[in-house]
Amino acid sequence: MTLWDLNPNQHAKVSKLGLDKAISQRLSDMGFSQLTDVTCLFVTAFGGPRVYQVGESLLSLSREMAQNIEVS
Amino acid sequence: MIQRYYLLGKPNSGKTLLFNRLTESEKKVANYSGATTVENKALIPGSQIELIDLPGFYSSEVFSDDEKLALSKASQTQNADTGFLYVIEALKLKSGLINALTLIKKLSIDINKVQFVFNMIDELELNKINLPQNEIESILKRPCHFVSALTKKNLTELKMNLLSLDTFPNLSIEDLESIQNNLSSLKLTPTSSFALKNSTRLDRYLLSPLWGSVFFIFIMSALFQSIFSWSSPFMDAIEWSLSGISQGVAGVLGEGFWANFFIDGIITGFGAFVIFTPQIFILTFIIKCLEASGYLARATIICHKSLRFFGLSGESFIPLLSSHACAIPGILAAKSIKSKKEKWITMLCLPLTVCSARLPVYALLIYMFIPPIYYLGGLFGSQGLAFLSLYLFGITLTLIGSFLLSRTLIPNKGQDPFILELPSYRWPEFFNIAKTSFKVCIQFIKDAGPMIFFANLGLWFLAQFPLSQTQFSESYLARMGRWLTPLMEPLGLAWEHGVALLTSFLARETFVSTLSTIYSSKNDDPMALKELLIQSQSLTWASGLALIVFFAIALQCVSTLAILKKELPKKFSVTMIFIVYLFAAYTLAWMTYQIFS
Ligand SMILES: Nc1nc2c(ncn2[C@@H]2O[C@H](COP(=O)(O)OP(=O)(O)OP(=O)(O)O)[C@@H](O)[C@H]2O)c(=O)[nH]1
Ligand SMILES: [Mg+2]
Repeated sequence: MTLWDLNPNQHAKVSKLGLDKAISQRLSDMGFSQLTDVTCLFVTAFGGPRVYQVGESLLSLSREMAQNIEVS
Repeated sequence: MIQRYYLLGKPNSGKTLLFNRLTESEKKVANYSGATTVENKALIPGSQIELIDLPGFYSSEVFSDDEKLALSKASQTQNADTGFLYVIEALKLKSGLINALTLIKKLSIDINKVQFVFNMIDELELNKINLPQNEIESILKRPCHFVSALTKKNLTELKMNLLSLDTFPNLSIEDLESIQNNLSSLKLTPTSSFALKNSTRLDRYLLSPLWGSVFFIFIMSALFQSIFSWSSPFMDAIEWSLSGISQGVAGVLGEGFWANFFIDGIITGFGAFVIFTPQIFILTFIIKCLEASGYLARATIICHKSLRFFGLSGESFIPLLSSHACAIPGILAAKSIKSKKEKWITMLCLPLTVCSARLPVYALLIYMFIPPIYYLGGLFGSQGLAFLSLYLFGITLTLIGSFLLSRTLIPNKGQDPFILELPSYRWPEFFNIAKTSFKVCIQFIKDAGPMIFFANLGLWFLAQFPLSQTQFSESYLARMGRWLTPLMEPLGLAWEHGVALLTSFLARETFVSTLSTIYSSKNDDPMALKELLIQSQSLTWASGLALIVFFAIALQCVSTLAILKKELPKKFSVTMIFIVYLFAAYTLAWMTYQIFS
């Protein structure tokens, strides 16, 4: 399952970042590291970026990013 | 001895507000990531210590210009006289510290030069959370300051501390590891629910697929239409006081050359432009309130997908919005766009948005052509709606421009690595924002003022001489102006407009003051420019539209060209950009006139 598959208010744990090295590094510096809990909060119109809660932060990711983050 | 401190930290942690407080500066503070894109420097008053505010960054992997700048400064640790203030949001203390320590290690920043500033403690107090300050300081073994840049709490202590010499144990790389380990055992009141509570109350609606879009469109139309509706009383007041001044001058000087000079040459010309400052005030005020509220990050998300279709991205939204006040802050804001191509496209097309210097011209034409009619009990008016459509026209041109560029010269089909942190919603400080907006207006007058003054003076003299003239059409101005006729005729315009267009290349606002000087020299009765123009019947609907089209497109602003030259790579020739814009402006204005006449 990927992050993009989460419905609003659904929780999961990040299991793998399938993006290139630089972006993965940046994501994990922003809080998306392995085993962290994420919650999908808001889904916007037309497949636009979605909003997730990671720890104390709210982060918004585009489809391309969220589809490459595996969660379980 | 430390001579300078760099402010490091994540975006939106309050570095710039802290900088402003400590150095008594007024740099741009806004409630979204990427508000600062250049470095700000200033001395702490009463000392020789320099404080340097940098753009924020999250990671050692950086993509945008502003983050690259911050990273390069943060890595300069070899200088013995340089220190760092690491700013961390108190509500995100633990994750902020983990991130900070990771970066300190990764960038080999000397931990002995770092002091930690936990900012926004007012938000902790609001949520009734206590921080174990002593425990945190003993884990970190470095100076820790718990402050609120907003309420100024503990700022004096922070300042004193920066000025005094502190002795702290020297730490090594191994110590850093143990600090990181100890940190994980630090128990804090969990704060994640506060961010969530703050956001969900509003975002449930503001980000919902349907209501989110409706609200977005509503806010944007209200912004542009209120510039017009709300400013009328203020404009009337200015007009009233200007005519009072003219009468006063006439009373003192009587009639004749000097009275003429002051009234037609200076007051009328200057007034023609000063009268539009209320609109600039309102525009600036609303944009600054939006910036402070935290909504703009939401707006970025909402329009990301649609902007991508036009070759831009959500990140272009804030630059485009700021450019409605002035293109220059817009171009600077574009420096925080991660994709290089999207950044170039944004910078190249953003001069097509309606900046406030175009406002006087548009407003004049609207007052001339559109009779005021009010709907819904005064909430919407015909003139306000006309104004809104001119703004939409500017936005449409920008989007068409970026669409074309992204499909031709700057092919941009790449990936979509969009990631954005949403700030908490915050109440704008209305009074302070009003104060800043007022200063913006004063600055606006100061910037364009001298240009307008001298242009008017020159024009007025050309209109008065030779003294032997019996009619205005014999004056030097009229004789020279008529050379422009062949260029203006195809647009349905007269030479007077030609002269005004020429002077508007000095500063766009000069257009109205030039027209005002020319027409009031022609006419003996003192009248507002609007009436003068109506009376002269020199503009028809079609030529008025042609004029708008020309103004909407031509890149007449020297400062914009200068900053484009600085921010764009060499391959974009600024002269070429200017010519392309001018050519497009003239051709489209010509087409407009041909179609509508
Ligand atoms: N409540 C509260 N808000 C604060 C405080 N300090 C800053 N803010 C707000 O936080 C937001 C961000 O402040 P900035 O100073 O622009 O943040 P920055 O770290 O310079 O951000 P970037 O330039 O994007 O890196 C603004 O809305 C500020 O008003 C504080 O102590 N308390
Ligand atoms: Mg800043």
